[in-house]
Amino acid sequence: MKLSNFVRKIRDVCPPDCSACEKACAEKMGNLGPVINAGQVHKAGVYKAITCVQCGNPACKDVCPNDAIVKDEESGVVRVIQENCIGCEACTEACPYQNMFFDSNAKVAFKCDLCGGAPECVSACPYGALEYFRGGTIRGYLNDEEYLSPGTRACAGCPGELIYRFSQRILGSNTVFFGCPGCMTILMTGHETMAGSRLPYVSCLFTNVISTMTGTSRYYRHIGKEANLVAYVGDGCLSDIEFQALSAAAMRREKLIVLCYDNEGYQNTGNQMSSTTAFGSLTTTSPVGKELRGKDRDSKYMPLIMVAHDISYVATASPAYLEDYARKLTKAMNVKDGMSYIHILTPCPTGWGFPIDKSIDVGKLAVETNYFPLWEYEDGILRLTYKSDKPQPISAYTKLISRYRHMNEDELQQLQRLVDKRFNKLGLYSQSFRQKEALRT
Amino acid sequence: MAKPMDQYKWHELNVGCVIEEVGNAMEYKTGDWRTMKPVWNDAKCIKCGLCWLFCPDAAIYQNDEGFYAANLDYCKGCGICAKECKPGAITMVEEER
Repeated sequence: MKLSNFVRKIRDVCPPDCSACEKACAEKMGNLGPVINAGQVHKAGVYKAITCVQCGNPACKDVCPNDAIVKDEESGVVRVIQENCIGCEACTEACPYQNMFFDSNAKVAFKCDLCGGAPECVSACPYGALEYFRGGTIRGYLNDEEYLSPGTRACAGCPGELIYRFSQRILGSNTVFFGCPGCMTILMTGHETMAGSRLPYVSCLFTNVISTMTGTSRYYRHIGKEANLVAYVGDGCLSDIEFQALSAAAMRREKLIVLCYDNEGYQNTGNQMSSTTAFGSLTTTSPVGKELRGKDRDSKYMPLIMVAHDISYVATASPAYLEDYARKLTKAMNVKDGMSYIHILTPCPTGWGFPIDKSIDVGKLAVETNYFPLWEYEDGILRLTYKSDKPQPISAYTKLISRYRHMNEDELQQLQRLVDKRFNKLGLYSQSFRQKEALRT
Repeated sequence: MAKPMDQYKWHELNVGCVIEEVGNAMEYKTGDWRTMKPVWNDAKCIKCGLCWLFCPDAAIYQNDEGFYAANLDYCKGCGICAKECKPGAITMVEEER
């Protein structure tokens, strides 16, 4: 399974008179000329590839009579070896994306080679409209084997299932999963009749997931076995019911990986309010009527509570940023001693009320609006791993989701204030940590 | 072994509800949940593999030529692949039965 790296447009913000990407490209390519066209970038839709997409099975390579075009197996980049090019122009016609160019003076074909891994066009764009998509890099984190068996009973479009599948591929076969009654139990055991995974899974009660893991880790230590012990449990369990045991295990410095899939409620039983449910959300236990308009309090921010426990590794992640998550889970896996905790926002199409194909979009907007910032904490330092250049207002996120549909202007502003407050707090944390670092050095 | 949960009698379940068959959810075909199915246009496909990466159900596989296709026994038709496909090679079409 190969994934490729290429440059794509991620925001529709470029003005027609800007040509920063083309200029940067022309400078880099020297006398050959740019391989990116500013006019086409302006016209291209969001998420469209705008330079060579480094095809898996390149048409240009197939038609070349002199084997002058090669595909690098490791990086996936398709290159023109200019000494071998005879100038027949067959490749420029064969390319279905018109991304093969020909220099009529030098009589050679040329194309985008991704500047050796750091595309100049992306760094030159003043609006942050371009992104270097690193599919090949994500693939590097994954194992070759698929552990999830299709046929699970998760709802269609469940990002929790996606994160579960993705985590298994990163963690590998030396892993034992633990869980409690919730969406993921339906997925993993199918009501005690169908295993949704080829990895062992222990179904615990709400209050003893972490205790069971502690016992298992002691037994494994006794028999001299090493394995990844991973809890994959929801926000209802970790932030409400299981919190005491989690806090105690964090204080005992147990070597466990705790993954919390936060779908902001008890979605398995039909959308009841949990303590991570956001302000204003409509749930069955925080209805909208004359007395009450959705949840009237702010949510509990679990990851910062885990930072206060000062465990080895804390991070937040989103299914829309899989490379970021892969890096964080790999870090959590390599923690030598103590607990690692990753809090993942998994938008629930069934409970929140949005179309099933929008799960990833909603996850992305949650990060773009600073509603769910991505950061990590290790060795006493908190660092934001993704910073939106121009955070969108929270209404861009809430308008997609029907659980916020009743909210009026005042309530939206209040939610915006809560989001800003949380983000500023995180900013202060990371800043003060940075100052401390500076003082130390 | 695998059949719908309501067809199980209590004495057919193992002690402690232990599932002895590895990954036997495969016997439960979720394909009939679907109303829309993904269709690939191989001419537009750039084999980037995003559809495969984002499929929650591991229902997308790569065929011998390197193009991607859905295993319609298990595809639930959520449409995340079509949404995430950057070159727009996947369209969701209504399932005909």
